[in-house]
This record gives sequence, structure tokens and C-alpha cells, in this order.
Amino acid sequence: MVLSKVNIISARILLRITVAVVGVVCCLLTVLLVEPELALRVVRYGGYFFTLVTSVVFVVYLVLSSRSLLLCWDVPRSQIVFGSLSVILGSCFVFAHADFGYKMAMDDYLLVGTAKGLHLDKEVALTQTGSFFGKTFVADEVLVDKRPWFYPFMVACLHDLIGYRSANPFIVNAVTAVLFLGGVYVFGCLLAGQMAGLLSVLLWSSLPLLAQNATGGGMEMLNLLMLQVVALLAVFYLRKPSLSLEGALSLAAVLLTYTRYESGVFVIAVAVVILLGWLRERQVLLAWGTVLAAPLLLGVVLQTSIYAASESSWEMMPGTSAPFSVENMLMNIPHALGFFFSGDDMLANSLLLSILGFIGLIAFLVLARRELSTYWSKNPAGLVTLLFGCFLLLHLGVVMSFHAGQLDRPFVSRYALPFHWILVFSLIAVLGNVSARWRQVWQIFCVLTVLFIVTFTLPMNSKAIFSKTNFRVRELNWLEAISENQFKPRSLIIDRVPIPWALRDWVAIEPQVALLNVHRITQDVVSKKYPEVFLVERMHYDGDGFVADSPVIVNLQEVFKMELLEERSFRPFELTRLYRLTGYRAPN
Amino acid sequence: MFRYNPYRLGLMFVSVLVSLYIGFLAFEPVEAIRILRYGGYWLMLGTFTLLVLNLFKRSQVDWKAVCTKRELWLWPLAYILITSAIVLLLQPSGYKIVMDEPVLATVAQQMHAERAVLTGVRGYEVNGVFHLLDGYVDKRPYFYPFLTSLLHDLTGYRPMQGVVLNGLLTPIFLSLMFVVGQLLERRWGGYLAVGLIVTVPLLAMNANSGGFDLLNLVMLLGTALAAYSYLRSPNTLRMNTLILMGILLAQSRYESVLYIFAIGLVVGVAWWRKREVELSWVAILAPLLLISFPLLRGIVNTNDAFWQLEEGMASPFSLNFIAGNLEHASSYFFANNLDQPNSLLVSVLFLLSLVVLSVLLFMRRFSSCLEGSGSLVYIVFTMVVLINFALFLAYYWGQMDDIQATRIGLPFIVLQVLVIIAAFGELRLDRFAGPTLATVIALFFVTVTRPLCAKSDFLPFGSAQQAVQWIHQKSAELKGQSVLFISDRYVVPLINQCSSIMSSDAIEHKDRIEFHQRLKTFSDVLVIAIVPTERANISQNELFTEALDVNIALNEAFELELIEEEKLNDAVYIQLSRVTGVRLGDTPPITIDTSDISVLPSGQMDFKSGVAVQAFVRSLP
Repeated sequence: MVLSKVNIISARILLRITVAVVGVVCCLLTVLLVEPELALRVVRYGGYFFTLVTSVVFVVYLVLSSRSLLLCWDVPRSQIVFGSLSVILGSCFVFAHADFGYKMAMDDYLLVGTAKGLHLDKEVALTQTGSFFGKTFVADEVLVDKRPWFYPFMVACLHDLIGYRSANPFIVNAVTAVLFLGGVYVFGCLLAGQMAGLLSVLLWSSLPLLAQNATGGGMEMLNLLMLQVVALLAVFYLRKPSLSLEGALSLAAVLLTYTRYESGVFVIAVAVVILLGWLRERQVLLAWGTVLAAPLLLGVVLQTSIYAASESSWEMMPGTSAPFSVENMLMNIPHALGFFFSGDDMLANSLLLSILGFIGLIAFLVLARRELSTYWSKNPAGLVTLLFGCFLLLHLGVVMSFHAGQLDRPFVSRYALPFHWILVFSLIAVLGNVSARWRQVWQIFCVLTVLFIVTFTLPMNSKAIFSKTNFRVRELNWLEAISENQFKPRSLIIDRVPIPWALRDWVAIEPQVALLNVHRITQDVVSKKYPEVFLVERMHYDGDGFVADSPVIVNLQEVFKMELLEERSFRPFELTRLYRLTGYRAPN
Repeated sequence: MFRYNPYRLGLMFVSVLVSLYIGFLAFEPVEAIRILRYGGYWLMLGTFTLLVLNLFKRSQVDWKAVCTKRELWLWPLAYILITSAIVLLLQPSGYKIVMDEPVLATVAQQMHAERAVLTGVRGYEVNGVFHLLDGYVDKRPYFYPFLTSLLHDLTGYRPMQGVVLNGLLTPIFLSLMFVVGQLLERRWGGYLAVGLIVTVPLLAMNANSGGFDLLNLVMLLGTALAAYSYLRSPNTLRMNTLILMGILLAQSRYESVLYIFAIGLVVGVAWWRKREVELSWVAILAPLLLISFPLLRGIVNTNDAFWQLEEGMASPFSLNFIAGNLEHASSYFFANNLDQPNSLLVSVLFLLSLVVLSVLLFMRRFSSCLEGSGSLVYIVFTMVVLINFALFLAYYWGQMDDIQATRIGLPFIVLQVLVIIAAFGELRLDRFAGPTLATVIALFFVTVTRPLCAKSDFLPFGSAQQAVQWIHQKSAELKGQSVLFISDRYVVPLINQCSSIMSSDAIEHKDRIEFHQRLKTFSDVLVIAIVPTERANISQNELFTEALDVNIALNEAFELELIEEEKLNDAVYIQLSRVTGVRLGDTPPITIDTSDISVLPSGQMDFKSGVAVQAFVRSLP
């Protein structure tokens, strides 16, 4: 009887191992053999379903493991109240100066455009240019973006639930930020107790980069939440390994990979955690979630392989030879130090977190050698901190070896967001040890952090120089305001940047296209297809006056008569002009 | 024989010597300005944090017991909330004293944004970010701007945050008033004290303004209560509360520094009673935490402009002013017209109370309901309030019936109310006396105070206050539109985070304006001018002649196109004009080297060396 049971279990495991191996092999073959065009089609039409299936199965696993989660973390009511108050306090700090809006042009627009495509057509594609077919705005030309699409997927789900709204991307990020702080509190508690949870939340709140991303339309906030979810599931799994927790953990890692390009490195960390769980249980569990992980990753792997092969998608700067290299990393180290230890308000760093965090990180790595057995036997959160810390160092290394990985550039700083996870929790782990001998350490650090938040973080968030200096976003907001108030509906816009227009259902074409279709545009205006035509011109100052950035605009000005509608300089020496086309100049 | 810790006493001695040296001897005014500008905020933050931590330690309250004794606080709480709402609805919100309050607001703005004690004089919104580029350290104590800046930090920047702060301080002030009143007369004192002070429209004016006078009252009553609490049961924690409250009170208004002597006396008495010189670390630090006061005074004393003295006046204080100012004070206290925010009821009852107290004293029936500690605090703080009021009367601008100066008498008015309550308590009338007086107060409020406040805001018609309100409204409307304002009320657009410079600077640097017109740095350059009408008596009004001179100079320097004008009163218009051209005359146009600027293939500008950017910043008008 016993023997037959063992055989049945072995047969079950064998089947799962076989399916898993077949899945991995199929994935590899697909990546190697499928042509880029077909791969692009798979991503475009199948991408939505990859994330949908993964998310649904992940939720099922979470529900299945909720019982063991609750059993493994028996929380008194007072701690729930304390935790809730900590998260509310942290959220108040993060959102005290909330200015919801796009922070990164064009990344945020592309993500939101993809979300619209996922919502309307269930396709991983965004409209580049569109036109009206009856009353409906239909896409004429679409783009499959290089960015992973779990964030657009979440935004699309919200669109599905409450209807399409331009505010939905920001709602997703705001909710994500609050959930993230909740996760941070729980992880801090697991690592070193209740006060550690509070201090973890406060340390994160001291980081303006978090507030910037919590109020923006980018994918960084969700990436951070998924990282925290994976870390928490890893702790719970290591405390009491089970099939349901393993499945949830594997699928969380898949979703994390669908959130940001380089988050794929955590798949290895999760694999290590799963192996440690097996070791702890002295048994191979292998949930179906783990078995399915490789096939479910196919979408993002295909997308990455397509864009990795295309040089243009790396947006290489002049003078750089490879997108990733050791030279890049060496050159980017001073920039990284410049970001982490910046004392002015141009960058969204937290000097307090950097100073304490780096000291904490070194101390933690030293301490970990001594505490490793304690972590293994009593505190898996310490073990996860150590393991994820190593992968976050690797992650930072990857970011810094990227040719555009200068963290002290306001629009690159966000890549450093995940690394703050290890700065916070290594400090918490060290203070956990200190508190055994000196109990007041938590109060002192909490008061210090609150003072820092009030005197540095909140003023920085209020000024938000690191966001406002993105003049392109301000320019697009200005154009949006003018178009809402002054343009006749269904007008044609000629602009070098058509995607934000298409996002708001305006027919927009690039100047080159307009120049090639002069007669058609003229006819369309005469036939009242377009009630008005507008041209956006970007100029720079050359010492004598402003000249157009693009010669195509000058050519268009020779062909069309136009009147200046508005002009505004969004940063020194630059000018954006908006013209209304008033007629056609027949060639002499 | 006194007990003492010799090390702490030695440290205290060193702390006093170091503070005296730093405060009075070590630094020239220029250095003092730099210290205050960059260090003032941190000094204030340190003191405030110590106070918050101290109060937190003292607030280990048994909340369950508090909840069960609801009858103790429920009615007073309801009463204070209702009276606070009444006070806040009595007068319109906004700046009342238009030099002081916008200046305090810009200091708060700078403390919030840069942690610097600085009053802005020119600022620009460039590249989407507002920068204050120039300023000076003002004479005004900066505890109020500090609290306003904290409110900015916690709830986001608002130009009218000072008004919000005063709104929040109102229930705190009335609560303190209630507690002090209750201490003076146990049954009705709190209710009567709050009722009486509410009949004074000056309180409502300040509660709805952006000035620091309400905070001064809060700190005054809070310090008095801390002194009372300390004397009743002296310990280190209570002494620290008293000292920290006193330090912050000293930085709430110019003359409030005198309360330091009162606090010193109270602490001395406590030591005497205990026969012990008890020195906490806060007490040792206290002289160092106060150094900003002598530094600020040093700066003010070297700059005559801060005193705003009239021509031929040698000193701002003189005994010769007292007689005249007493007449003005009596004209305020006993006014019965729309011009003065006074309470005739408080003034009359105060006189009666003085008579009653004198008679009781004469008849030796005077025995305050306060025990020894309370009486001592009452007498000591009364003395300082009276000294301050005497100083005010000896001040050249101490005319209490001048609305710019009336608020300086607020502590004295609070004292009047407390004297009335003390006299009422001493009379020990039957149980109907309290409700009767309360009815009188309510009737006076309904029949006199409320109609008075409904009819008047007590500000002169067509004054600078309306001009400031108008500029505030315009700059709020144009915020974020990259507009540059040129006006003599340059602070108001700055508070709204709009680019703004003084008219004189614009005229002096008209070539820079012309250059930035070419660069399109500002979407519009707007001039705000005060224009006297033909009916205005220009020759007899210095402000009008100055305005006319500025307008002529502006018209000579710029081509202006009138956009909007509004009548402030029969004598004055305010105009908003657009600069359409600059009359450079012989001044050569500005050019800068832009050879290091290029356009990247992505369409973005590439500033290689930053030379052009630096030149851009230097060329701002």
C-alpha cells in the first residue's frame, strides 16, 4: 500500500518534470526557430492571453494558499491596526504633494497607448496614427512596443472594469504604491518585528523617486510591487513549503518578468528559493504553476528576442559600441554614486536612505555570514533578503552596464528604484540585530526618518524638479489643453510626435508624411473631411533667432499658408509653435 | 543651601557665554545674515522638534479614563468648535496687512522650498520650475513662517497657507483661553473668557489673516499655562516644556522676547522653593537656541529702512509719543463706529473690573481663586504684557486706532478679558451671575459685533490691500503660464510662484527684458501699475507721486498695451499692461554665445559646456 503510494507520487512528479522539460525545450525552439515577423504577431495577438492566463492562475494559487498564509503568520489585531496606520502614514507622505500625470515622455505615453490597445482589441499594440471611420476612431498604423506589458495589462483590466479613462494609469499606480507599502510593512515585520515594519515604510517614503513613480504613468511602481510580492511569497514558502505557495511564487516571478525588461533575473532567484524549499521539506514539490512558468514566459521572451536583435530599439548614443558592456559599467559608477549621494533637489534620491542603506548593506553582508544558520532555521525573511540582495546587486550591475545607465540623469534614475529594496531591508536586518541589545534604536531611527521626510523629502516632492524638467511632458500638456479648447473636432494635426495625439483620438501624421500628401490634405480640407489642419513646429535659438529643428517643416511652410496660433518656450533656447493652415500656395 | 550639579552649572555658564559671544560679538551683520539665512530654519526646527518630543512624552494619557469622563470635555469642546466657526466666519479671509503678511508668506515659501530664512525679491519660472533668485533676511521673527512652511511640507504648497494656519490656530487659542478662564473662575470663567474675546472683531480679523499675531497669543497663553504647570509640580519635563515654549514665544513677535524674563523668574522661584538649581539639557541648550534673536536684532539695527522711520526722526521709541498714543488707544477702545475692530463691552467691563479689584484690594477681601503658583504666573505675565503695551505706546507707530498697528494691542486685550474674569471670580456672585453675564455677552455679540463685522472689514477703502488682492487674483489666474510680472508689489506674484520683479529692476535692466522677449522666455511680460486719477490729491500723497514717477519711467522704457484696468477707489486705478516692445535707446542689445548648443537627432537640445545656460541665468532681469 505504502509502496504503491510512493509510486503514484513519483509518477505524478515524473509527469510534471516531463511536462516542464518539454515546455522549456518548446520555448527555446520557438525562440530560436520562429521568424521575427511571426514572433511579433504572436506577441501582438497572443500577448494579452499570456498575462491573462498567468494572472488568473496566480490568483487561484493565492486563494489556495491563503489558508496556509494566514496560519503561518498569526497576527494580533493590534498589529493590524498599527500596520494599517503605518501604511496610511507612509501613503500620506508619498501622496502629500501628488501631481498625477505623465512623468516620462515618451515611455509613459507608449505604455498607456498599449493599455488602450489591450483594452479595445486585446492586442499588445498601440495606435501610431488613426483616422475616423464613421464615428469610430480606428488605427491605421500600429506599433508593438518593446516594453513588457504587465502594467498596460493591469491598466487595461481597469479600463475593462470601470470604462476607459485617461486617469486609469495613475489610479493603477497609486493603488499599487499603497499595496507596495503594505507589502513593505509586512516584510519588515517578518524580518525584525512591528517597529521594523514602520521604519521600512518610513524609509521608503523618504524616497522622492517612489512618489514620482507612484503618481506617474510608468511601469516602475508595479515592478516594485511584484518584487515585493515575490519576496513575501518566498518568505512564506520557505517558512512552510507547499504546492500552492510554490505555484503562486513561480507565477508571481513570471508576472514580475512581464513587468520590466531586466526583472527576468529574479526568475533565477525564485528557482533557488523553490530548490531551498524542496531541501527544507526533503521532497520535490513541483507545482503545476512552476511547470507552466516556462511556457507562460514565452511571450516576453519572444518580445525581448525580437527587440534585442534590432539595434534601433537600444536607442544607442553616438560613440557607444555595445548596449551592455563592462566599459559602460565603469563609466556609469560615478553617475550612480552621483545619484545615490546627491545632496541637491535635482535628483529624486534619498540621501538618508543611501547613507544608512549602504552602511547597512555592508554590515548586513558581514553579519549574514554569522547569521546564515539562524536565518535558515528561524528567520527565512533574512535569507530572502540576502538572496534577493545578491540579485538586486546583479540587477544594478546590469542597469549600470547599459549604455544609457547614467543614474544621475533625471529620466534614468527610476532604474535604481528596485535597488532601494535591499538598501531598506539590509538596514532593517542589521537594526533587528542591534535592537536585541538597544531597544530604543527603532524609535531613534523612526524620529530621524520622519525629520528627514519633513525637511528634505516633502519639499523635494513639492518642487518635483526631477519631474518638471521633463519639458516634453509640459509641451504635450500645453498642446492637449489648446486642442481641447481651440481645435474643431476631427481636425488633422501634423506633428513629429503623433502617438500622444492618437491616444486622444486625434488624426495626426508626421511632417514627412504630410509633405508627401500635400494634395490629398488640400483636397481633404476642401471636402471638409478635416475642418482644420494644425502644424506643430519645434525650434531652437541659433544666436540670431529661432530656426526650425526639422527642414521638413520649412518645406511645409513653403507649400501651405499658415497663421501662428500660439507659441511657448518650455525650456531655454527652445520654442514650440502651433500654426493653423489657412491655404495652399500653388507652385510658381 | 541650594543643591546643584556643578558640571551642569558649568556647562550652563559656558552656554550663556558662547551664546552672548555668538549673538552679540562674533559676527558682522553680513555674516549674521548668512548664518540666519542658512541656519535659522534648522535652529527653529531643532527647538520645535524638542518641544514636540517633550509634549509627546507628557501626553501619556489614560484615554479610557478620558473617554469615560465625557462631561468634563464634551460641552467645552462643542462650545470651542462653535465659537471657532463663528470667529472664522466673521471676516473675509485674506491678507489684511499687506506689507507684513505677503512678506511672511514668501519667507514661509522659501523655508519650505529651500530651508532658508529669506524674503524673495525676484523669482522666475524657468524650465517648468519656480526659482527664487534673490532676497534679503527680513526683520520679522520667523516662527510663524516656520509653521506655515511645515504646513506646506505636509499638505502641499498654497499661497494662502498662512490663513489656513491661523484657521487651525483659532480653536487652539480659544481652548487655551477657556482653560485660563476656567482657572480664574471655576464655574463660568472658561465660557465667559471665550465669549468676551469673540466680541472683539480684531480677533476675527487676525484669525482670517496671514499674520503672526494669533500665533503670538497662542504661544503667550501656552507659555503661561506651562509656567503654571511647572510651578505647581516642578520637574525636568515640565521645566523643558516651559523653556521651549518660551523660546518659541520669543520668536513669534518682536517684543515677545521680553517673556524670557518672566520665564526666568518662574524657574528661579521653583528653584527657590525646591532649594535646588535643577538644570536640564534643554535649559543648558536654551541660550544657544535663542541666538537667532540677537543676530536678527543686529541685522535690523544696522539697517534703518527696517524701522521705516519718517524723516527727521532719530529713534523709533520715545516717551514723547506716549501721551498722543494713549489718546489713540482710548479712541480705539471706546470707538463706536465702523472703523475700529473693538469691543466696547470688553473695554467698559475692563474699567469696571479695575474699579472692583481696587476696591476689593482696599477692603482686603482680595483672595484669588488661584493658589500661589497661579497668582505668581498671573502677576508675572501681566507685568510683561503691560511693559510691552507701554513699549507700544512709546513707539512712533503706536497709534492703536491705525489699523496697521491695532493688532499689536492684542495681548493687552486678552489681558483685559482675563482681568474681567478675575474680577468676576473675586466678586463671588450667586449662581445666576454667570448665565447673566453670558447673556449680556451673547446679546452684545448679536446686536453689536456681528452687525459691525457684516458692515466693515475695517480696512481703508481703495487701499493697498485691495491692490494686493487684485494682483493676487491675477497672478493666481496666470500661474503656470510662464508670465513675468513687473510691479512694485512684486512679492504677491512670487507667492503664487509666478515670475516677478520690481519695477525699478525692470527699468534698470530693460535690455535684459528685451533679450528675453527675443528668446521667448516668458509668454508675456505684464506690467502692473497704480494710476492716480485726476480727482486724486497727488501733491499731498507721497505714494501717488511715487506711483506717477514709476509709471513715467516704465512708459519711457517700454511700449505698453493696456489689457485691463480696475478702479480701486475714486483716486486710484490699477492697470495691467503687456510689454509689446522695449525702448533700448543707446543701450546695446544683449547677445550671448550659443555656439555650444546643437540639436540631437532625437530633436533634443544638447548644451555641451553649459556656457549658454549660465549666460541665460545671468541675463535674467
